[in-house]
Amino acid sequence: MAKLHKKVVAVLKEKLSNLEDALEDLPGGRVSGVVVSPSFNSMDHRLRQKKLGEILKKGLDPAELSLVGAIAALTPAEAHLEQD
Amino acid sequence: MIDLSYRPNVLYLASIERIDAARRMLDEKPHDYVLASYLSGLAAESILQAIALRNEAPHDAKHSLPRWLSKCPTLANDQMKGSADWNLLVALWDNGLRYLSFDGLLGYFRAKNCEKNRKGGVEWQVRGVTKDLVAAAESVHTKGLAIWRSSTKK
Repeated sequence: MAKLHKKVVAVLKEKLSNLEDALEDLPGGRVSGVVVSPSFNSMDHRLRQKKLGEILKKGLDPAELSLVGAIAALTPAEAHLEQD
Repeated sequence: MIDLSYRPNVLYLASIERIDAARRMLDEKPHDYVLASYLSGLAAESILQAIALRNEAPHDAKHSLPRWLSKCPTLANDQMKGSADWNLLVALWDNGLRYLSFDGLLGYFRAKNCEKNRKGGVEWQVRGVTKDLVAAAESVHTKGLAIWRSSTKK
């Protein structure tokens, strides 16, 4: 796991409970993918993206932030189909 | 032409970027309802292609969402086919949406009879239908991500 990936996960774990990391290290040091947390329960996708954006903006410097690509935010029920 | 047939992971990541962009086109000013509509379905198409290609399906379904779904594992069909969100997405999304102007999109939605019973002016009507389309695509895309992840774990 690359350095930025580790930092993104650490920053998110501080604010989102039971975070499951399905982010990927991409060429050029970029990070993108999926995260799963029960903290997203009862939030629509718009709110989830707002929440992620706020957390990352506070926890990363602008150079690091520019290397973070799109992140999809799922609830455990959405991520694990057997729980539906 | 870029050959994506052997790059399902690229399609998977692209699908996350496209649904994110669709939300921005809908939520942030200046709104672009044509792009929001197009990108939301493109996100769904991309995740279906990713799943199908990793399932060793040939890359020959063009831009037909039902054809791509039919190439996905049974789990995907069970999760998506027949759901209200799937039906709305298939009924409204077309790969040619990207060529439309705002008025073209209004005409397209009117031809589908889906702006009826919506209050407000034409922009409000188009926004309402686009919002429903993006929400349906989000739901299908979310299920697609879960199916992608479940097959990754194997």
